Amino acid sequence: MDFEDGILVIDRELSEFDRRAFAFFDLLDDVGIDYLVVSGYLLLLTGRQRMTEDVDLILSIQTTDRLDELATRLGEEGYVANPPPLDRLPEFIEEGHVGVHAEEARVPTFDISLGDTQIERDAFADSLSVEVGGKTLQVTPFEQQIAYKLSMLYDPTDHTAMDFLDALHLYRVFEEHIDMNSLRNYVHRLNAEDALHELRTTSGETGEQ
Amino acid sequence: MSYERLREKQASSDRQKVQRVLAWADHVRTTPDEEWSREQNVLLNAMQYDE
Repeated sequence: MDFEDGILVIDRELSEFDRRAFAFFDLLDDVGIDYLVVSGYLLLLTGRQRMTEDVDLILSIQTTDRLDELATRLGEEGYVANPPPLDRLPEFIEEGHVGVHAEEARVPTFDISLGDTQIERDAFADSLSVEVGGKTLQVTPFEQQIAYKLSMLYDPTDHTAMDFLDALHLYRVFEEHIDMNSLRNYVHRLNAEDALHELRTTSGETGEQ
Repeated sequence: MSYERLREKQASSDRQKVQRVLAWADHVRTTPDEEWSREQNVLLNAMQYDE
């Protein structure tokens, strides 16, 4: 993986999971929906070795006027909503989130929510471009993703929790590119200072205050 | 087997989980993308896609 002009370039061999995800992203692009890839699929793209059945996406609040068109296109392309029906997709998204998958396959399920909190709006503003498999995706900044994962921990000292290990992977792989001021800012906003200390200690850093 | 021994084994297992993640992250960082992704895809392509 290389950063070239602020774009992360990943020259990975594509999996069946990637191909299915990319087909869905193409559809979002066609409809003109702005989205960020977050959580599990971002981890897969960047090499984390773990299973996931979901592709989590947050949609920009700027493009909510296109959700009806999105529902129509998804139906035409053979996708279904879980829970159904698909034509209530805009309502489900406004309420919280919705799962969408191809009718013949539940994997991957695209878990879609609206990026309507301030921290998610900031993630759009700070988003990172990732070039992979001939596509350019917008992903949530690693600093925000790490902070979010750490904030999800019930116990900051539980080093075997999936969210902690996800954060550890991102931190370790991209430690030379992590903006510590940005990370500390996100961590402070999400009240995850103790977990960040654990993360840095576990990754082999010392002297973290 | 004593309770203490079970706790020791669990702690050892937990440490290994963390070490595996760190070792794999270092592998990703230092290995061409095509190589680590091919290894990763053994896991991903084993998933059940069609019903």
